[in-house]
Amino acid sequence: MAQTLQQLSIPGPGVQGLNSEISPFQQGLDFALRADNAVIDRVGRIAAREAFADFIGTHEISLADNERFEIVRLEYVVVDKQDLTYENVSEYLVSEYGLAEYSQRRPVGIPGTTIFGIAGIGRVGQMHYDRYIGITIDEGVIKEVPSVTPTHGVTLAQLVPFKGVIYSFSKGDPVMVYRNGSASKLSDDADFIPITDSDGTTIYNEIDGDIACAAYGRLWVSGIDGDYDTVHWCSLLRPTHWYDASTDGTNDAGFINVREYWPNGNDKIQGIAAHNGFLIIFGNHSILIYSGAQGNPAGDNGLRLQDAIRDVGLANQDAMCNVGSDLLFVDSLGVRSLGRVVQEKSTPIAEPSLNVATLIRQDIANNRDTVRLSHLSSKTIAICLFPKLREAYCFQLGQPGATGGLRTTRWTGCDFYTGVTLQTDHRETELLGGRDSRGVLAYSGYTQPEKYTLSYESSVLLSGDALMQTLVPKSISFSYHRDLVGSNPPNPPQNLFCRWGFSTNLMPYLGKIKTQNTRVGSVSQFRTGKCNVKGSGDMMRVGFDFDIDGKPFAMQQISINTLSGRILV
Amino acid sequence: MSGFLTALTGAAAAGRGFGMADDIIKYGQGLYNYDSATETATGAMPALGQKLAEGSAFQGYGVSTGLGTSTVSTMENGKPLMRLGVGQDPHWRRSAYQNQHAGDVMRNLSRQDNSERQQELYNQNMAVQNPMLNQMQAQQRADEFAMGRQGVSGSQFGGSSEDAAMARARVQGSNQAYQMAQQQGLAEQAQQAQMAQTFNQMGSQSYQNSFQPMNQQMQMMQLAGQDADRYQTGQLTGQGYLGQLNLGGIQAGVNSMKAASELEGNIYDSIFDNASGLLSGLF
Repeated sequence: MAQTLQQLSIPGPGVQGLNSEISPFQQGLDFALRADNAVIDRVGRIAAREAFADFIGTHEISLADNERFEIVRLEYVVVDKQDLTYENVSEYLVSEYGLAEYSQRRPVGIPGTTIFGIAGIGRVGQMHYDRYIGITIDEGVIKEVPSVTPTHGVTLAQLVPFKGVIYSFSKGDPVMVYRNGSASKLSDDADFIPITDSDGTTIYNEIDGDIACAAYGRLWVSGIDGDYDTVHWCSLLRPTHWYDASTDGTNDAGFINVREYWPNGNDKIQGIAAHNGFLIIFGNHSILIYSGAQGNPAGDNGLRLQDAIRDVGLANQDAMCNVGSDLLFVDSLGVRSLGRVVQEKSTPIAEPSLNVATLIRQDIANNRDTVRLSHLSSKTIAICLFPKLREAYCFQLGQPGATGGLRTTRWTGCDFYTGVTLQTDHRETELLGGRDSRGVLAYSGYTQPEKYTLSYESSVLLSGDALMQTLVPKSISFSYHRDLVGSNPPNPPQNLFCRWGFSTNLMPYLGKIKTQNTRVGSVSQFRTGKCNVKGSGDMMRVGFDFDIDGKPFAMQQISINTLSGRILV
Repeated sequence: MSGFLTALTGAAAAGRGFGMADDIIKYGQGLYNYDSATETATGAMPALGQKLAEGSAFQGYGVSTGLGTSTVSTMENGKPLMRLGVGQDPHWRRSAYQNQHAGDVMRNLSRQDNSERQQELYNQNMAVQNPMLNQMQAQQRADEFAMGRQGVSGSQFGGSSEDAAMARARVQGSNQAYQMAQQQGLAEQAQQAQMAQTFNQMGSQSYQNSFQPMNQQMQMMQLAGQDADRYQTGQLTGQGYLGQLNLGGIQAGVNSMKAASELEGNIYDSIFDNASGLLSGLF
């Protein structure tokens, strides 16, 4: 018997982000089966992510033919420029981070930044790098820092800003200090006190660990001489002073060996972080939470093991980031978080990647050494990047979604390795370490060299308690939002495509969406396009692809005109 | 005629008188005669003096007790010789030597550098304290482990603050043990010195005691000396009497010689007077 045409509506499609953990029949239409290159915008719509835009591409890095450089690490420190005058502004801008700052030429009191990074250099088309070099940005040009040639870069290395300089750690290499355009070994500092035992015997001549963190006025380093059971810390605000058993009170550096405290009996320090007043020591599959890292860690109210968590660990030290309210980190089960509870001083564990657990676990399992987590604070997102796949999961920070997990989307075409939010008094920029010799990128705008497409796929229509039923769709309407450009009405998007499908994971049908309500003189930011569709089947899903074209795009609502066919069961 | 007679009698009297004078000289020389050439005196008086000297000479004396026989005599050179005949008491002397030896041992001990002994005492004290300290340390280790601080070491404390506290406790314990050892060592040293003194006193006392028999004998000698004095006094008195009697006799002899000579002279004088009258009548 013929059915009447009915309209199914998906208001706010995918506002809860991806969900691979609930059956498509059970999950509501708030979830999405696909949300590529999407974010959840400020009003809760699925929207296009910003571009990995070129920012500083000019470089003076010596490359052989067929070589490329990729910035695998990037850090910055704010430097005090209060004494600047107009006359010396260009001099100070030697270490200024970007052309825009450089061109402003503000005469006095410009807070600046010093940027330092590690670039890997390898042959085009290969994944690995032949060597690593230090880089900095000098008057808008990426330049080499020749004295920094670490053995490691992508992994087993770390950059730590501390006290106005940047420390470059690399496993087995002496830590380098980047300051004002040049770098030198920390051990070359006249004040350097190596790690010395009580007999005055130098135990380690160099700080050559690769697990490092700056917190509570100290550098915390593990992996020195390959010892991943011990965390060494420098004297308070004196990164040149390390444990020397001097006991005269002038040096309160020290170390802690945590070997006996791994709850699983055995582990290896993977990362160190400061969060909620605690010092978090991550193992591969355990976490030790120490209080009392402030002040003197070896003192009376010093380090105390607050908690030892088993079966939750850290994939690698780049796979964590502090988002203020939470410390996010990647372990084998996905992206986890240590919460921040001031009163109880406890650290509840949550699983922000709950909605994509199955998907992300597989990726993590295959990329434990290179998976990275970055916080793009100005965008209120955290991205879990898989550089080898050039894919990332984007977690919308703030209130978690309906399931308790953060709303998650997926990014593709991620041609960057690292991300850092560069904050100055008058600018906040998300810098990305670009790949394929692209230099420094900015997560900004909607234009990038490579085309990128916002893709969405809904969960199954007529899900929930509805009986399995054949649907015969007739048309699908999309209400979307685009920014106006100047006073001209936006052109009908030529790059918005409708997708739909039945029964299978793929959505084989593709149709061009035609804008319906384009009228002369219309300047509305909200528009609707329609696509006539065909086919029939059960488990109908709808979606769209939008090739981002330099302007923001967000999907408001999807409406489907369909006939309901026979009930299958 | 009378004159002749007088002269004759006078001559006779003179002759008699010269004869008596010679007799008196001889008597006197018999009593005392000094030869200047030999510087020796002879006669009854030196003989009496010699006799008195010999008779009043120290005759010596002796005491016999259960302890021994003591004598006081005169040597050939006239000097007195005393033979006590009693020595030190060997028992006391041995005791004195033993005590003295013990005193010497103690004194030597007290004078020795007692650092070794103090170390020994320190070790003993620490051995007493160590279980407690070890218990504290074990407790600290347990606490530290419970707090997750067992692996902590800081330059400022050499280890953790607990380690520093433990080290302080150990140092304190060590100091205490050292002080105790030092005090105990010094006390022992003082005790040894005291014992040395005591032993020395005992030795001295024993030594003194060892002279007790001699002392007693000498006391007996003193008593005997009194008897000897009395004897000597008697002897001297007797000799005095003897001398006085002899001198009296000599004096009497001299007097009698003098009286006889005077009488005889007077007789001769009267005779001569008479004879002169007679003779004067004659002539």
